[in-house]
Amino acid sequence: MNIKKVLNYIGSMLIIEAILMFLPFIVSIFYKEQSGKYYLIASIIILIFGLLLKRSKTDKRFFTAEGFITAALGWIIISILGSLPLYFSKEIPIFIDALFETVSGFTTTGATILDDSTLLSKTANFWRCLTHFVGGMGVLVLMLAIVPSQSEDMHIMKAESPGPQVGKLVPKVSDTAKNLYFIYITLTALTILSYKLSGMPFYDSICLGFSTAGTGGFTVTKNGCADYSYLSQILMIVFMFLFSINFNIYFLIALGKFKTAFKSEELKIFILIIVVVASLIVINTRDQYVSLFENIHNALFHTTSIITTTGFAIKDYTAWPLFSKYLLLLIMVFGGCAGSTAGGFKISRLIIIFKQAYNEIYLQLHPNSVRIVKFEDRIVPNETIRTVLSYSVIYLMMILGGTAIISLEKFDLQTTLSSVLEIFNNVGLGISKVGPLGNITIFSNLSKITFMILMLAGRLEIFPIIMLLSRKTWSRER
Amino acid sequence: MRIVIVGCGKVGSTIARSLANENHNIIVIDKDQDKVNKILSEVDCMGIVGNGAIQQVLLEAEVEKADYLIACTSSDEINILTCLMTRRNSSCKTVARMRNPEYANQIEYIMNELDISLTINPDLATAHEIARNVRFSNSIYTESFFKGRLNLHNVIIPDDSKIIGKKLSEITKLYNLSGLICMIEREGDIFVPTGSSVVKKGDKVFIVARSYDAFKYFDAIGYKYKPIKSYMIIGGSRIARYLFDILDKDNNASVIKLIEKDHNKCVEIADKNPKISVVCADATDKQTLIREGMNDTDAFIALTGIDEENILLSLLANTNKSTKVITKVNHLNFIDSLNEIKLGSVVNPEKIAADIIIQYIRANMNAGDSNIETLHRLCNDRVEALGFKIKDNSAITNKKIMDIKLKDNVLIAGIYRKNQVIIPNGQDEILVGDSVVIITKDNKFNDILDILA
Repeated sequence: MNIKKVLNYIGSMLIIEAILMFLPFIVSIFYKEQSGKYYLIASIIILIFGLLLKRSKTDKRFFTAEGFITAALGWIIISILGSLPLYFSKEIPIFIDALFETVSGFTTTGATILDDSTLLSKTANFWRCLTHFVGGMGVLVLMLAIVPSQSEDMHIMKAESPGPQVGKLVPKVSDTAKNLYFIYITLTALTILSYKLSGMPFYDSICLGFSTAGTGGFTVTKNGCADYSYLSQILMIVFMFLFSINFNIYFLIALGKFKTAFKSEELKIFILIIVVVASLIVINTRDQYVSLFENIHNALFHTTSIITTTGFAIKDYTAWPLFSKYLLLLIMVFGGCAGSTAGGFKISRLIIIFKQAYNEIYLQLHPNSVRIVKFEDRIVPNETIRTVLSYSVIYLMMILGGTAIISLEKFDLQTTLSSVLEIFNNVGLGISKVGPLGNITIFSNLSKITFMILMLAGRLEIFPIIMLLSRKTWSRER
Repeated sequence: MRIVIVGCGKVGSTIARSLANENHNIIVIDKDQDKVNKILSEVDCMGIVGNGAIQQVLLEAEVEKADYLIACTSSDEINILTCLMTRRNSSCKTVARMRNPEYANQIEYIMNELDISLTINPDLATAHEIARNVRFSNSIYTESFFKGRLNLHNVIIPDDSKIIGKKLSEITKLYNLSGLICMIEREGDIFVPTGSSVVKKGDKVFIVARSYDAFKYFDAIGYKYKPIKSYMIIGGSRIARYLFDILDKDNNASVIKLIEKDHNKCVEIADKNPKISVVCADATDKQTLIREGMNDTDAFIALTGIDEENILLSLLANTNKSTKVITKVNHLNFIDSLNEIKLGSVVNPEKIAADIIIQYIRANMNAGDSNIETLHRLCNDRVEALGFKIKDNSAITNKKIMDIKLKDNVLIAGIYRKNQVIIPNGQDEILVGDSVVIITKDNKFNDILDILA
């Protein structure tokens, strides 16, 4: 394990974090808040750490394992360091809580230990939402976009990018990363502008814009998204959706290849699921609404919010029938499209395992027949199918294991199960006690730590975290 | 630059690896999914699975935007077809690998008709390399500049050498040497020595010298010069056949013996090359080799199709200290771990082909102050020896060399002016019209001005 090179890359990540942490300091000057100095101090400390790490002399060996460890270890370190201002400024006085909030920020989960986020300074809220923005497209991808390219880049990109197959937009990884960030920043700017034009205050537009971009879920007002106008909420639906489709599509559109872009199988299924689920919820909850518009608006908003794993809410849906709440849990697991900022299992994986399962049934009846799985008009190689199926099993085990630990808490099943699902899929919003009116304060420290591991595992798609904890990765005879 | 490589075999992957390191945009096309996956996991490039001779595949690789297309599949015909289809969609330069000696006479016509910029014959290039190697039998390998007037030799210092323990400045004076020991490779590390550096046992030195001066160095080191008169070549491969043609013109070569297993090949060769003694036998039988005179031959060249056989044969031949041994190895990965002391000189056709292509691309990349005439990559591509043509005045011309601030690990090793070779000291200047040899470690230069700090 080439730990020196790994630490070198983490050094780069820290330098990026230090620069980002300077921004809340600027916000604090603007709003004349005291807490700003903690961000400045932390920024300098992180910068020093980063520069120190970059001095470690590197040796060229860098393979997939090193990539995974860079992602896992790097994200843990930036979370710990990123929570320092929140802790030292006493805005979140308990360290585990501050850490939870920061991990929730970077992993774009959006689950919060805060009862009321307006009690936080504008600086702190800005930082929370900024972590969503960076965590969404990825800190390592940002690093790849900035740092001059080296041959190991591909391993790093694979470790942080979501989805079963990592595709490149252009030959060089660093150019791909630059393109992704360019599209990402442009779209975010568009989001912020739209929110502002729809009547949201300037500060809210920026924070919610970041939160939407990373499909995170942090809000800065007392009642979350319910505090905004219908127009703003409709825009939220649109942008949550836009950020959870494969960014390759935007690249194809930018190149003028509209037909190829809209042929995307994953996109079509994604839209189909949203439409079907929202419709079912509309029918199921029709008794709770007077106007049809309210009905559709609520159903569509929450469906989109949860399937994109954002976690915004405009109403406490605890009163909904169990069927609708079950549908929400279901799409929590589905998640968004690969190659986006959304979390969850990913639609592309779903399509592949579903097709494979269907083939399997057919093969049981006709043992010698040859069936292939095609996705996006290409044959899916057996190796990929195998990896996706194995991923599904490990995914399931993490949920089962996590639920076991959380069930020690003695909450009801709905709370327990939905908390694990929403945390692991980086949604940030569940049902029952972790619904729109709830938060994570009610959980013990053990649960919070479990949640943090699950959030990281979910965002990094499990393998990096497992590798970090596995002895085999570290032993010399790997 | 945007480069499309069709065929991800040994040549293709070597080129992809080297060029990706130089920051180009590389797209690799191959029919085999596994080969593409392998190159993707090692090199920062894009991969497409498909037949590169098909237009649709080429368009998918966006060949219309490419600067170069390199066709190096194992089939000459596919390579030519690929270049043709590329020409239809792109104005990029095309390079084709063509191995089949049967096409040798029509290559020029094909190149003209299909507008192929360069064809590479790895086997022919290797045969030339072997011939050059044999000429300077004491060095592991020799790279030529200025049409062979100036050479870079890589020589191992034998354990009993007289110069071990002496300083370089002493040695130059003692033996009246006029050349330059420009780099020393010691225990895996390469460095530029100074006059007070001491030669140690097991060192590999890089000597830059005029062709006749080189022998003085070999003498000083303790190698006796022996003109190569008798050759024993194992394996009637394509390289062997090209080598026969080259050796045919060498007056010194009096005995050339070929040992080849396949009877039909033996007959064919005996027919085409009457001067060669052809023996049909299995060379891995030690008795056969000794009987045919392995211990007495001046040069032993292992050219069978199997690396392991070549290595075994060379180990055997090398027990005789006075034989010049040359081994052909196909699998590049082994080269760095091969102990040259036991195996003599190692030639690798794919690396030679890749070097030619990379030299071609580098040379065409820059216009202006200078142009790369030759490029040789040594020591696992860590050391580069480049020949630049100085076309215009610039920051390095008309200035004493000792006044030019060079980057670390860069050496101006030789100047060629008006048919004279100059081994420069600090007082010499570089003028317009000169050709200059630069030796550098861990750097990749495209332009002569890159040498400046």
